[in-house]
Amino acid sequence: MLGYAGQILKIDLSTGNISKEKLEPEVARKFVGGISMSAKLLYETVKPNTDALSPENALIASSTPFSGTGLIGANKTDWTIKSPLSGLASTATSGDFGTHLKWAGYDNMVITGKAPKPVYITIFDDEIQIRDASDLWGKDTYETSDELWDRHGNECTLFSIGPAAEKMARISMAYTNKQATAGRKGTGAVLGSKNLKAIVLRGTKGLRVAHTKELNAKIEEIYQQFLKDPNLKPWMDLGTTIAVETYGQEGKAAWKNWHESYPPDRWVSRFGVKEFMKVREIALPCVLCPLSCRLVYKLKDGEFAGLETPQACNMGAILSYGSKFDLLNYNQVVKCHDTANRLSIDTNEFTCLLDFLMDLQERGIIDEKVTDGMKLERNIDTVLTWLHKVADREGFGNVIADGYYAIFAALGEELVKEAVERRGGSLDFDPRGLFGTEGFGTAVGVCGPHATFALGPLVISGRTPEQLRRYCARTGLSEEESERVFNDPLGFNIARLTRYVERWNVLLDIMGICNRPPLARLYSLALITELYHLVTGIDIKPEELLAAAERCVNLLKLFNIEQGATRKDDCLPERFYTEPFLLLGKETWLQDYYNTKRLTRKDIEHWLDEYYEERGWDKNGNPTSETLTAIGLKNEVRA
Amino acid sequence: MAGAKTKVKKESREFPILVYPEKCAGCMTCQVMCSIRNLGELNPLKSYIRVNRDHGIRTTSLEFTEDCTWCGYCARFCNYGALVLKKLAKTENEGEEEK
Ligand code: SF4
Ligand code: SF4
Ligand code: SF4
Repeated sequence: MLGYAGQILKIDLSTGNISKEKLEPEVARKFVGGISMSAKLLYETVKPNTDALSPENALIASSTPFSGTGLIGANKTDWTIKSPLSGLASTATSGDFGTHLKWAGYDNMVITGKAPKPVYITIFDDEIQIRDASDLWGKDTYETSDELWDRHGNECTLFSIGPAAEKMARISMAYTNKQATAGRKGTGAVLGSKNLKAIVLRGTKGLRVAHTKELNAKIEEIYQQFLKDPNLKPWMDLGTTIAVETYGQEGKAAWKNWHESYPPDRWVSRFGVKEFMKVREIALPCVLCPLSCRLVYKLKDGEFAGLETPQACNMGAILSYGSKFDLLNYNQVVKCHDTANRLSIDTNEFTCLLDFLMDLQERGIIDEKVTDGMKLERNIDTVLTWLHKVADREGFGNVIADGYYAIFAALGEELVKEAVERRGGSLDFDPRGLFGTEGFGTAVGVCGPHATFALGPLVISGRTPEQLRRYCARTGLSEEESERVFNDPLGFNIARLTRYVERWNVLLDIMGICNRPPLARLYSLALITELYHLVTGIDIKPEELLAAAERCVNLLKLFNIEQGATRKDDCLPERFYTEPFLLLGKETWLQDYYNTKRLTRKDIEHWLDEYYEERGWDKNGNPTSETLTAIGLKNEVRA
Repeated sequence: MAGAKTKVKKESREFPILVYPEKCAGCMTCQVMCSIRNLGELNPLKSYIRVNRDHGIRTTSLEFTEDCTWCGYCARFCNYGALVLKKLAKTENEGEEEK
């Protein structure tokens, strides 16, 4: 099968059994690849009521039809698990691994079971080995990576965990090549639960595509188009930092447990572009990316001078550490980031939890006894202390390690109303102030609240319905679908639009296309369809690719329902209805995108009905039998 | 050109690429494009350029193998300034000395 490697690698760590299954052409065509193949593999591998930290959970990696083809920015790997944090499906995209997996001869990898003692896996093309990792256990992520590169060669791609994940902290991560984080919601803990320290991968088989010359010509054309982007230079220099100053000035950097915005002057003077450029050393792109939002930080002078560490998202780091803990400069942010990555702690989860506890203490709701006799002050010492306590599961760090649900269980369920969380996970941003599809997607997203599939054009304020129509045309809405989206007194219907923004993002994930605008903008539905044909030789209609995206969302939804999710899980945090956000000193309530009115729970529930209707789900959010038949899933689902 | 080991060819042509390994970000695009162009398949580790990395962070050297045809194709896709086509460098920096 051209364009695909044609095999699924399955490893059972309990038995040591390694099998290579053929990827059947009809399955490839139906699910296409990436996240959609992962959804299928998750659904068939992980049964209802599986404990996420038991051997029965699966760690699934999927490459995509575009992985390793030279198509720029199409390099994402999908990592899927049942999340130990939410108890539901969790998917995440991350660079590199899938591309190399495919060059090694596999489209997908499924790891189940639990090794009797710590192990790591080496995949060198056909040769797969499960090796002893006793001497690596306890080492941090970077030490582990360096050791494995020394042992197996610098050209290997690595996937590894550090101590927090070994101890199955539900807020732990796993990392590709030190820098690319695979997932929120406890991917690291799933590796830890399997006694799996790392995977070492080297692929030398390469890949053949159906129409090499034509594909090559297309790649050149897309690359030339990319070079014309007027924002290319700032994007390459700054990555996600490109928006940092406006973000702070508009008051979008939250602190004090989502109660207020961080002072903009302080934000810009400490974390603005000028300061960032002092610590930016060199670009560190994912494979086949000419843009590189990723980088290596190097502290040339001041506190922690000499520290050099890779970073996947600078904006994420300053939003997490800088503003929440009022850190004094980049050096402190970089030190916290480096520590968390080494320990394999999810920065976003950890910082939201610590900020939450600080707020409770500042408002006298909990006292110092709870936090091991320590006052939680907003400074770097507190952050570093608690990162280590989480990784060691020491004192109250043992509770924080398992996230909001563990904190509620330890300190009282009434704290739910003080927290901004959903399904046990923290949010990335506050939709009070700007409520686009991302905000609504926070409620409905099958893998939310993070990695929202609903990130779309409304992330910027002031978009007109005409601009949205152009987006919809590029992303393949039919006339009837557009009619339903735009036939609304507000100019567009956010619930209905969310379905299609999700469909588009899922399709990008099926193809592994990075969602950074200079890359994602290069691809339209028509172009993706053409490229899929050039890569695989398969003649496919654009609607079939969109249908694969729908199969993915529906399968993940069915998976969640089997694990106990109901309509009640599709909600926003309670506080968004009852409390304003203090945005630059001004009380800001949850409002619709054009700020015409304050939104109540009733409005959101109404939109939820419309969203379900648009998706072909019943009032409880269950995919109807007709919907499953229409997208060809009827025979795949468990009764 | 520290770190670059370019084999001098018997042909009279000049090697078409300026090489700056210290600018290399390790994206592998050059390797993939070389393999498409010269092998008709996508196989970076078989391509005629080696990107030698150190512990995932830095490139230590960029090497062209014996089989390199000096076609310059890889350099067209390096967006980090590590491989620059001499003819482009000349037109872009008219009068500036080659580094
Ligand atoms: S833009 Fe960033 S995340 Fe996207 S492919 Fe490039 S380096 Fe990776
Ligand atoms: S010059 Fe041509 S043959 Fe040599 S490495 Fe570059 S693309 Fe390959
Ligand atoms: S394309 Fe340029 S930056 Fe990328 S690996 Fe090759 S030489 Fe390095």
